[in-house]
Amino acid sequence: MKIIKFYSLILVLFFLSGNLFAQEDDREVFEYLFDTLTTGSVAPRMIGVDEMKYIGTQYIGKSDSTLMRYITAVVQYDIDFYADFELVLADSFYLKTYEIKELDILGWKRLGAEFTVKLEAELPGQELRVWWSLIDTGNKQQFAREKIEMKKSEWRQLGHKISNEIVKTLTGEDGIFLTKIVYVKKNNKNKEIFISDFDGANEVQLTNNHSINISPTFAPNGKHIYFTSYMDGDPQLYIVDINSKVSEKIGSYNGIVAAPSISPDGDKIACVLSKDGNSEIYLLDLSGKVIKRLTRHRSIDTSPTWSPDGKKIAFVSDRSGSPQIYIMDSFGLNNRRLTFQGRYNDSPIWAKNGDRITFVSRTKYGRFDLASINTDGTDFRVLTMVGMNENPHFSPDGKHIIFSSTRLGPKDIFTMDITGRNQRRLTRYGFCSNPIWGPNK
Amino acid sequence: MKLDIILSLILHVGIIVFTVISSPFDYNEKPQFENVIKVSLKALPSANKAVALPKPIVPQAIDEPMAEIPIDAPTTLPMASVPEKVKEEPKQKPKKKPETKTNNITNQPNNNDGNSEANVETADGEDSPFAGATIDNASFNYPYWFTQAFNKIRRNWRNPISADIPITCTIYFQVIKSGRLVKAEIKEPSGIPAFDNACLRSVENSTPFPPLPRQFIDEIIGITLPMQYQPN
Repeated sequence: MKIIKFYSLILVLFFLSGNLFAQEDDREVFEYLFDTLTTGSVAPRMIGVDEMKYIGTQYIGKSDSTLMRYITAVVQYDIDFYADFELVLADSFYLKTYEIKELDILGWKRLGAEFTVKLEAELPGQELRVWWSLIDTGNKQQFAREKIEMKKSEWRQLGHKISNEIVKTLTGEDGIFLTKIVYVKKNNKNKEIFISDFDGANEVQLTNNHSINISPTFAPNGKHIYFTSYMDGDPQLYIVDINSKVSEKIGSYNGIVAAPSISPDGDKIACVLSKDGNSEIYLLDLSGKVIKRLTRHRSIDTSPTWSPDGKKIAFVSDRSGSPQIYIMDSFGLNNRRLTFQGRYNDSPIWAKNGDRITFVSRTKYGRFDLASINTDGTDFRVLTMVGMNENPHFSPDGKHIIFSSTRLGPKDIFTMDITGRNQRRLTRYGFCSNPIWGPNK
Repeated sequence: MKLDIILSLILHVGIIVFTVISSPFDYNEKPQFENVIKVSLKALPSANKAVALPKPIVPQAIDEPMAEIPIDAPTTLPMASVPEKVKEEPKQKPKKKPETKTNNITNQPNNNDGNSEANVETADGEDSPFAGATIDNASFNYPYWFTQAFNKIRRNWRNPISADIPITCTIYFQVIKSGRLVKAEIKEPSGIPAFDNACLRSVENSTPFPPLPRQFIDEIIGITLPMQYQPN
């Protein structure tokens, strides 16, 4: 009997050891999934932002001091938001240790900052006159200094403009801090379309038709939004002017007109029509007239999205028995299935450089997560692991993804880097969905 | 019966212990060949870019680009040698300039002979795969620019090969004031076309680079960038 117990104990230990190895494998998979999507592992640049200093000669009141603090906070938020940068905070312990109130360049360097942003302002009347400069802490070299003038009422835009200039100086690319986002917000039984700054500030309601408005998409010029609305009963395609907020119907077809996607050149709309009895993808001109039917299958085809070069369209079809992502060329030929992972993959969106597609995938725990895959079907990666995550869309620079998620309760809008890192909440209203990121104007 | 159980138990325990303790055969053991470079493709280079593969450069071509570079404007040449610059700079910024120069650019020993090339130092230091990069114009005194530009290149560098020894391909490229790439070519090929193409593509895909600082008076810079593959 003792021998049998001993034998059993050895077997149990053996299986436990195997289980431990399995957990190690899981950890490896976890790290693999959340590894960076780019092959070169480049750390973000560490940047410190000094508090804005007043360099004028006249006395300024408390409101002006507050205004300067707010502008500094906008620049700090933008730097922290940007995927290639990381904000270095002025460490209060360091300040107390050295009994100083502000950091000099050496102090920033000791805290890890490679660059510091210096902000100086004059406040004549209702004007804001700000000089921003960039300093390399390694050799104390100031290598950029510019002046920006705006009205005091435009202090947020001024902060974002400074951040854009910093991004341009350090990367050569256009910043995204003056871009807009559009999303759908539920209000009682209605869903209306709203627009705001990229950080969720300055929200404005675009539609107010007390109906259901969904699937917004920016025109490439950034001045109009195409969307699907139930305001006349069946879902039909509409366009709204961002400035005037006037909506206009585009075309009229039996059945549904849904999921519009504007081509990169801005003169074609790929969208879903069911006028022939089944949801198929059609190509429309900007007036809503059908140019060509792109899919022809007895199953449901939906969610078209253009590749950045406008030569291909990714879409979702359940022709294999479950919703999966397919790719065809913009004439509707050369269909091929892209995803084979799981039984539900939806809402595809192309990356800016066209080599990857990000989409919603139902993972093995039954959760909707954002995932990414090469356009040749390789290198499938899961980007989120909390809550239900849907409706991904890229920022114009291709470095960030905006999406809706229920991770903190009601559905809100979140952003993250394309690597899956730096996830942050933009809206706090609940019941927000369908976010899209506008172009750089 | 009891003996059978004991024998069986010993046999099982022996097998289990052997399985757990013994390591599998070392499949990674590599045969030792002297004077042989092992190279294998990890990923095929994309077909559309491969068409743009430049012809192999003959050895004589290494010296020619210096003569071809159209960037040596009259403003550049007087700045080339260190003694001249150190004397000129204090007129505009008497205190700071000499200090920054000694911190940032390590001039080549032959600079005193009139060569305007300079070594490039970045935040990565000698660990960088781009160690040994040189710039045509020694007066370009902005280490941050190299750090940012080389980071972009590294991010776009998708190495398609795996090899047992270090492999180096030297790329020469030119960037104008706005940060746009105007010329990129393989200066010293590694002898492995897939690797050379990947290096060249990484530079081409990194445009736009950070714009050249406004304080820098010339319109264009040329950089010779050795890109080194280090086996793991």
